[in-house]
Formats: sequence, C-alpha cells, structure tokens
Amino acid sequence: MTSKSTAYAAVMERRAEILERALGIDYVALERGGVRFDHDALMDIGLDLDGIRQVQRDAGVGETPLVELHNVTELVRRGAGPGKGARILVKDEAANPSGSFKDRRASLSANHARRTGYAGMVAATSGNYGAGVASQAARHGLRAIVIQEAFDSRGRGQPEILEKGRKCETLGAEVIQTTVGPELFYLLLRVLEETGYFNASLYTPYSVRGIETLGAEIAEDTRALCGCDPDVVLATHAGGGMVTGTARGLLAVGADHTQVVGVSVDLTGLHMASDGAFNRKSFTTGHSGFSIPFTSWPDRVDVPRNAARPLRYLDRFVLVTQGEVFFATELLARAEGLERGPAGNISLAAAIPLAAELDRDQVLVISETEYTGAGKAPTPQLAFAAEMGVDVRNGTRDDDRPGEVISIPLSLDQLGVTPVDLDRLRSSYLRKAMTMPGAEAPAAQAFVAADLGFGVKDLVALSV
Amino acid sequence: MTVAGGTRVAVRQRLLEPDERAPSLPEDTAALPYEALVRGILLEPAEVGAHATVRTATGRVLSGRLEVVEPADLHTFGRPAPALIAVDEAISELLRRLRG
Repeated sequence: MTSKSTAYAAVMERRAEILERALGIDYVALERGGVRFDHDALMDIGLDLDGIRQVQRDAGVGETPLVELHNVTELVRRGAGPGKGARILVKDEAANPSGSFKDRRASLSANHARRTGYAGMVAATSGNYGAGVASQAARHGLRAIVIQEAFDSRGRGQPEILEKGRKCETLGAEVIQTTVGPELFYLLLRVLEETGYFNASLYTPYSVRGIETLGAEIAEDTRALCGCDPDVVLATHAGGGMVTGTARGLLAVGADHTQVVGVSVDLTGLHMASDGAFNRKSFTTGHSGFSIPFTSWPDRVDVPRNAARPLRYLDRFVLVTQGEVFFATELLARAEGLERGPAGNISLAAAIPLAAELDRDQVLVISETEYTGAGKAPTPQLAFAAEMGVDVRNGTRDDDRPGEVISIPLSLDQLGVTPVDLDRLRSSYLRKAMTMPGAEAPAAQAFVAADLGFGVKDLVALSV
Repeated sequence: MTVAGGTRVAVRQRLLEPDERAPSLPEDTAALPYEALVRGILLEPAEVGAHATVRTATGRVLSGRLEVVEPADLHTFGRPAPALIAVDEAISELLRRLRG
C-alpha cells in the first residue's frame, strides 16, 4: 500500500482533485475564462426557495421569531432628533437547533451529503458553523469533523472558541483543535482526503443559498408585523455569506428597496495569522480581519470559487468597536430580556446610531441573534482579554484600540459607526481582477461589474 | 503515569515542523510547529507524554503524544470586569428613567 505524501506542498498540489471528490462540484466547468465564472450556474443546486424551506423545516431549522425591540427603540428615540428613531427588530436566530443562523447554512450541505452518499461532513471553522454542521449531521445520520484554529503556542484558547468546540463535541462531532496558522486549509484537505467526507465549506452554494430563507423570512415577518418591507437590514459581515444569502432572500420575495448594510467589528491592525495577536482579539468572527479581505477578493477560500459575492449585494458597510458590541450585548439583556450574542450584537451596536438617523415610521431589522453562555458572554470574554494584557475600561469609541484597549461606552449617544468606503474595496477588487488572464474581454468586464454591484461604464472611471 | 486503555484523553499531533509550514507566515508563527489536539478513547495503555493511539468520535484511529487525561471543558462565565459593572449600572439608570 502506498500512502500519499502529507508534505504541505504535496497536499496543496492535490487540492483540486481532493475538493472535487469532496464536493462533487466541477468548478472548472463553470470557469468562463480569466476572472469570469458562471455564478448563476454555481448557485443552481436544484432547489428553489420553497424547496430550501422544506429541507430546513424537516430539519427543524428556520422560521424563527422576529422580535421588536420596543425599549431599545424608545431609548434611541429619546436621544434622536424630532421625528427620528426607526423601529428596531431582530430575527431571533438563536432559536435554531444549534443556536445560530449557521444551521441554515449547514442544513443544505447535510441534505446534499446524505442524498449523494457521503458518510460524513468536514468543516474548518472556529465559529458557530461547527455546531451547525455537527447538529445537522446528527439529524441526517452523518458523521462530522470540525477543525478549529483554537490555541496559541502557549496552549491558551479564547473561551468563546473553547465553548464552540465543547458544543460540537456535545452534538457528537470529532473536534480537531489546531495552533495558529493558515494551514487550517491544508489540514482540511488532509482530513477530506483521508475520510472521503463531504466538504461542508462555508462558501459553497449549499451554504450560501441556505441563508436565503433568512432574508425571505425577514421580509415576510416584517410585512406581517409592520405592514411594510424593512427599510434597512443589518447583517454581521465576515466571509460574505450572511450578506449574500440574506440579500438574495430579500430579493427573492420582492423586497428590492431594502438597504443591506454589512457590519463588522473593527480589528484594524491585528494580523490574523499571528500567534502573538491571536488571543488579543475578543471576536472570533464578524470582524474586519475577515470582512475587508473577503469583500475585496471573495475567492480566497477553501473552495475554488466563493459562492458569496458581498460587493454584489452590499449597499453600505460600517465598522463598530469592540466596546460598543459589549455595550449592545448588555443593553439587549437588560432592556429587552434577551441574553444573546455576541455575533448579532455587532449589528445591534450599529443599529442604535443608524436608527437615530432614520424616521420613526421606518423599520430596521437586525438579521440574527446567537446563543450565548459560558465562554461566549461578555464577562468571560473581557476577563480573558484582561489576562492577555488588553486594557478594559469605559470610554468612547475613539479610545478603542484593537489588541490594546477595549473601550466600553456608558450611553447610547456614545455609539457610532465608521464607514468603510465600498469604492475603495471595489477598486482593490478591480486591480486584482485586471491582473488575471482575459480580463480585458467584454464578458469578463460584465462579470466584474456584476461582482462590484454596478455598471461596466463605472468600471472605467474607477480603474483610472 | 500509565493511563489505562479505554480512558478518554487528548493527544497532540505535530503536523508540520517550522521549516515545513506555509510560505509568507508572520515571523512569530513561522518559528513554531503546526500542531493539533484531538480527543478520543485511548486504545492501549500509554504513558502521559508518550506516543499513544486513540479512537475519535467519528471512529478514526489517530496517534500523537498523550497530553491530557480525561480532558474537561472548564471555560466559565468569568469574573465581571469593573468596566462592565459600570455599563450595567448606567443601563439600569437609563431604564429607570424610561419607565418613569
């Protein structure tokens, strides 16, 4: 018996064949030359929105409550100008089987993996997605392996990641916890090759289309509760899946005037692959270390092409500080009786200043909550940050310094947002796209224009 | 210490030596090996710190250095930071005013 080399370069060289066997998607056939590929064909998984709803209903996923935050809205209105202060609602995605919207993403992968004869699923994630994969695998009679980047070289792990690992194990998954490094992808390939399991990547069409029901439900629930479409939907933004899937779902049910705003925690300056910086961030996802690079170039993921194309769907992109999210988490618990977080509270932190800009008869919806508990709540997060030498104190957003200072505001009027210039990200995408072969062809330009979310003629202006 | 077969343990696997790792890593990370910790049931008696073989939750058989015996999940709710207590006080005051 010959065993294949596990050397880094050798495994990476087998990447295409490993991924094709582990997904069954022929990405090469979808390539249309250079920068262009057939995104519509990639997204065709043989299910329409109703078909996706049926798969998820069978798996106990989705149809979560939309909850109006009456007290937060009233507090915002008291500090806002006359006639200002939109109604704030939140989709309580913590009500999903594993406690987050990630069940929607895992459900279609599990359904597909079972129907096509895979014995199990593998996902590389330190986030809630691991629990979603573990939970859906259990429901579909599949095995699950979750690979987490968990520990620094001193063996210390963020309590939030440890909790997510615990949850995966409780749901029956095997959890592989690694030290810091981008070789997570290398290890994923090794495990896929060894087990023959399905690659339940976050960036496949199954994962992204599974979120479309969330966007559709947000529109339908808001119509039922408020008699109108949401004016604004705030989506916590990291790899682009939440933004892409939610926006596609909104569009699928005709909510085409709803503005989609991506929100991330500002972790500017922290290197994501650094052993020393790894434990100096209090957020494991939903932060700028993912969202900025993934928005400006989506195809940097564990599949050949990312089904999530956030620039196609984002109307606006803003950052909030770590301290603002901790404030929002406490506010949601005390003002509304909802102990949740932290992911959806990134969007809640932005919702407070953004609702104050909108009129009272407008409606703003936060796309998710997530379950919380030991390791995930603000207390363990902040205790861990302090242990890592981060200064945790009260102050304004201007005092927040990722990796050094967490500055928690004491009132709603101290919350704000930092705009991310989408044109700058489009420009960065364009520069990269133009280096690819065949980029000058009109068809390639049309694809790029679609990815960038505006017309070809604007491309020319942007590229000069 | 010899650990009996059948005990739940965690083993550490060294997947890549520092010089075998991915290119373009930050300096601090590049100087370290790439390792993984996996939990499973010990198949044969083994010494802590020595080579051991486990069966994982998916039934895979893996080898590594026996590092933890009966690994536990000991993350907690933590001790509240003074800055968080101040936030809670401030929010309570806002809500008192809201409720009149």
